[in-house]
Amino acid sequence: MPAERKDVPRRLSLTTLERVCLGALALLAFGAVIVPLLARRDPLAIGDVLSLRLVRPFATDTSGEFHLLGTDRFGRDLLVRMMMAGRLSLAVGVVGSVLAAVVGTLVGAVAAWRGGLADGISMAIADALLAIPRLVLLLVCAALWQPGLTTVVVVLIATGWMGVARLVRGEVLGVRAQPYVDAATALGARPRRVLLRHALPNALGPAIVATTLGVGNAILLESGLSFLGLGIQPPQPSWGNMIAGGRDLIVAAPWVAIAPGLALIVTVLACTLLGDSLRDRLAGESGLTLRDRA
Amino acid sequence: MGGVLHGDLGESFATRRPVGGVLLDAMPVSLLLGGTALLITFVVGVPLGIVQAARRGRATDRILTVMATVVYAAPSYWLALALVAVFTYGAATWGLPPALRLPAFGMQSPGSELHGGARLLDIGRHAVLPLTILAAIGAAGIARYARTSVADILSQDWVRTARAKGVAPRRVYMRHVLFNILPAMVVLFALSLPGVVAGSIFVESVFAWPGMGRLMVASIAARDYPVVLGATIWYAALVIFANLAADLLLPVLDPRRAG
Repeated sequence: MPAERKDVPRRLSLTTLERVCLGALALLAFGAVIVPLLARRDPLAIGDVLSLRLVRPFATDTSGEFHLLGTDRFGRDLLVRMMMAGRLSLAVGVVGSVLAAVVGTLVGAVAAWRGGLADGISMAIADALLAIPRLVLLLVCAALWQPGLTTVVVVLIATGWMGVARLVRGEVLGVRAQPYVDAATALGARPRRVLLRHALPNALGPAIVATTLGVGNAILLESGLSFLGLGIQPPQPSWGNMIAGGRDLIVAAPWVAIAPGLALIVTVLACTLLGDSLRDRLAGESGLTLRDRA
Repeated sequence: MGGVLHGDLGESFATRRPVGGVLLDAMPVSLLLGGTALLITFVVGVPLGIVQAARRGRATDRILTVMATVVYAAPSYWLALALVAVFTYGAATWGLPPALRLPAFGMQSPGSELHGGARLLDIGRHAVLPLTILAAIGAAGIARYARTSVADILSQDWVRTARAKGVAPRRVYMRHVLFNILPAMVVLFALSLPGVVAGSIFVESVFAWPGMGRLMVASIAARDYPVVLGATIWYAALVIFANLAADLLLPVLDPRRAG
């Protein structure tokens, strides 16, 4: 029987705040998967507009169907559309920031490991891109291609990798000077193996935190692009273009814009708070490693 | 390419005007909105941060932190729509006093021939809603930053010394704490300006504010690439100048960095 270490908690204990955030995200993800499957009508198709449009929340339409959040101007159920939009927003946010982090990690690691020209060129590109506000860069990229799902993801990657690249580069440069890297090299490991197996795993902490914090941001940016008409295109729902669709109905039918906005706030809030607490946890941990190294 | 280096950004596809001239019309309007918003942001955000740090862990601090986090997570265009609903349509419907009925479109009343003070007042009324949004979101971020720096300073030896020698709490905050976070805040101000100007893209497009953001969105929709690229270059220039200003200001404000 292996000896139990007392300093390592056996189960990851979560604070109330983390439970609430995780719960909210899980509920949203569950709803995003389940609700559109249960819908009786196609959430993209436009049916009998005149009798179904702008049904109030908690009301029943003329055909006897109940709408928890009401319907939009084309008579489509808002709850179903909101959950479909949730699929896209969550997926785009997670995929966009994770892929940006992967690209950033590769660039940063190679730049630090190879040094010289590769380092100089890649960091010059990163610095040049960092000089342009991300929103502006995002708009320019979105303007160059056909708006749509792929463009949004590609653009999020293209404008999001620089921060992580700089972080990872700094960490890898620090790790490179560690004795265990020399030890691995002395044992005959090839440079690529040393980088991938020994250096990178020890340099990823800050990059993971930055990625987690980036998810909420990516979701906000995606919905912003969609709000301006440069992201996800109707009839495909996104929280951003649903808010845009409710823009001129803000007085006649405020629920059309309010519901997706609240969904957006809850999602971004949960992602940000989780990222914050992850940072605090890892900061404690890396403080320990720093002391160990010294 | 050679033209760009000489400041010639070409001609707009849509209006046939030189891009430089189009941008020159829009940039001051955006800087006015962004700069004012940033000023309000700091005037509100820094005291909030100090209050939070002074009451750390207590109810005031917690409530303010929750509010700041929620505002920070909300999309600005959504908040903007909510304000328009309340203060433009709502104020008219519920018969609120005229002072609370705020315009939600453009920078000046259309077709108005106002001059001098009346014109300024008109622009001011048009700016209230966009400024509120930008300042609220900015203040949420700045308060968070100020809270951390003030909490840091409060644990310093010289703050304890000041308290021990009987300096009134108010004077400790005004003289010892505020003076020491001031350099960091001024630098933060310079570094935040481009972000606020870029961040106002959504607010400008909701309120039809004739600045860089609206120009950018309209040019993208019109496929007017010279203007889009020109605006991007100007944004980048703004970032670089702001960084330069921050670097130059810091030694002036903080003698310890002058060495």
